[in-house]
Amino acid sequence: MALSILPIFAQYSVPSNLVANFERPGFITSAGQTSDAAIVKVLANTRLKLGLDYDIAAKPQAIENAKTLVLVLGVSNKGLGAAGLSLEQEIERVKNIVAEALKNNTRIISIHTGGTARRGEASNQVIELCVPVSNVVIVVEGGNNDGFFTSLCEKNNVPLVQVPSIAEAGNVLMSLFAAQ
Amino acid sequence: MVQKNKNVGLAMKHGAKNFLLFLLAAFVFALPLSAADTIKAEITASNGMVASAQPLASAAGLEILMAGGNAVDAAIASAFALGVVEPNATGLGGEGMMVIYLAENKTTIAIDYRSMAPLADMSKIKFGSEGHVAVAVPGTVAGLCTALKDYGTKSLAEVMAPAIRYARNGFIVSETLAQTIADRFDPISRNEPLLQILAPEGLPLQTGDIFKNPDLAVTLEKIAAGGPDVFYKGEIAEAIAKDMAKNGGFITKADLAAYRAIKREPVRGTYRGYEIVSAPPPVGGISVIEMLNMLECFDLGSEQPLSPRNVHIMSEVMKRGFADNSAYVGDPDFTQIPVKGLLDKEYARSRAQEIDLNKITTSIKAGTPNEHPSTTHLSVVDRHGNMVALTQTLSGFWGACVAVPGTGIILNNEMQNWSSRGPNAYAPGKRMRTTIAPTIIAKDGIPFVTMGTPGAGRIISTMVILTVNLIDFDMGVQEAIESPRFYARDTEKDLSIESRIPKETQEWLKSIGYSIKEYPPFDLFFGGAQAILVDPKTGIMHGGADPRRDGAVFGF
Repeated sequence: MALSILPIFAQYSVPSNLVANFERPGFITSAGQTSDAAIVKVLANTRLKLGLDYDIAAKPQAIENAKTLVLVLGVSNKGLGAAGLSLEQEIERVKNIVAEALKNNTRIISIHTGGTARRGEASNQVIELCVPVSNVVIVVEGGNNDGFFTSLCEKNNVPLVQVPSIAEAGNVLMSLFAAQ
Repeated sequence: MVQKNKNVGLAMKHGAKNFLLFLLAAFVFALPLSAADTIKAEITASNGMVASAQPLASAAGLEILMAGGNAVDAAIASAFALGVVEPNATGLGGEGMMVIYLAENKTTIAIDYRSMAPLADMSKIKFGSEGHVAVAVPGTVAGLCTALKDYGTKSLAEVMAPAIRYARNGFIVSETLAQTIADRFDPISRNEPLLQILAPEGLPLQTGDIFKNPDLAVTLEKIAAGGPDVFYKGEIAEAIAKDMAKNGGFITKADLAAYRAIKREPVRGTYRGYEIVSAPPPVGGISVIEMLNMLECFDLGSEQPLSPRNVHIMSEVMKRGFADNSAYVGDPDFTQIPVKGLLDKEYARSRAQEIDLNKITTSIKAGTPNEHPSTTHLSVVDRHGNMVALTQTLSGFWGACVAVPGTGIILNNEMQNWSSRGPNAYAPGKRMRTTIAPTIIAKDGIPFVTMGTPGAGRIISTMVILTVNLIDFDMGVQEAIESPRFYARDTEKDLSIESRIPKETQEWLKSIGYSIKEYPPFDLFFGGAQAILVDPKTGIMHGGADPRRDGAVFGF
């Protein structure tokens, strides 16, 4: 059923061993305070009805019961300011939340939807932190123009699914979650 | 008129029958002036001109001018249209201030339609930047309707027609608009009515999408038919009050019914022989003039505009002006503001004398003036010499991230602008201080420039830079707008600059103690200025719009 939502002309493929391989409850948070996390939340919950929990600045205890953690990657200075966090504090938060996920065997989906606007030195720091510990990475294509995600995923043996649009990223996300 | 703007075609696409004709006419009678080293062409025209932050809003004003309306009619049409096509920055749920020059009797008036704190005691409330508590009583409808009734010639229905058309038929989302949605999508997603407007199919509107707001079209039609009372005393007031009560907000029908736009005397000063007429407290014109008074003590024109010395002097002046703004400016109906003292040339000279040309001042306090009693912009000029400078805002982009269900109205977050103490401390019914500063410049009593900018705290500094560019460096209006900007404030440790500021200037500033925060070459952080300059000798209008935003100038 999950596969049936993928368009037959899709220019990407989801590794078959990952389809319906992620369980709920799931939890969405940002890695870098990008508001793209809210876009993924609306996509996942309003459009795809996945019913994932959400907190853009979640602390480790919030994900204790999650079986899947969705990390939305990208540093936003405006987002950091709104959350009252410095980049260093945000990186520390991400490290802690990743550690909590690994401790609980929570599986991690990293997703980057922000294109070139969410790349750069600071964003690359959180990407390099999250990609190696992810079970799958989804990237909307503009964000991987320089092949950064490709080489990082290859180096860490993490499956990468590159899609042309945020809507397609939603379809991939949908396919990853097992039906309830 | 023939700017490269991809959005203009949209109105044609959506079928305004006379739109093609008037655009063709505008094309014939308005000319781009090739200005070296500017991204956008400076536009010239003889009969009327509108510069605003969005092409369709400029087109709305031009449509009214070409139909025989005066500058006020056109400004009101553009302002209502901006509320539709630049909804992140302005709209019926916002507020503003305008300065009008009437050529017939040579008078200048300011209309204060700043938002107002609800009358309930909210002194225990912590004001944030989002949600219903952040919303102040909106002034836009009262301000625009007052200006039209007293100084316009057209009916409300006539000037609102383009806005209604845009809201109903839609317009193309620009990259700038899409980015503002993405940037605040987290709070946006927490308000279902706003989410329905900005993510109608479950994803935020993207560049190139069509943005329609049919509920807003209906709301605008109701106001066009029934006047401002529909908003402040009728069914729209009812809808706002109901949504507030349901969500912990404080605005009641009584607050809305009590709201009035206020006519005020503009603040006036001079700069190197030019008369500066700007928006009075509680907004920022007084600080623009105070800073210009300080700058008059230095010969800026003897060096290049962005020389190390000039940037240092202007930064030091900005910091002193901002310190005085914080210390003395508030709602004049609640606070005694030392207007004369702050505008006094001698006071400015004493402040300017504090500046060391080779050393940064690290700690700046407000001065002591000799008296102790007290965000989008558009400019319009018509063939009669009438001028309007109008700046409107929701405070932050997307305001409180709250839309009133069923109306399409997005509400401001002005309540975040109170200070903890001083002249801008909160009080029920008070209007909060902001930095907007729509300004008119005159020479020998004849106004020839109307200009303004959004940009939060950068408004005042940008207005000073624009004035200096025009007067000290004799730049064309487009060149003045595009010139690299910088911003210093007494409360901020960094000097914020666009990266185009020469590296040698940056290095020298660092060597005397500046901490530099570099922004991209053209950054929205520094505002989006619009200006029209009328050549006093030829009467030709020269319009400039800011590439930092989606600005556009149309004339005929």
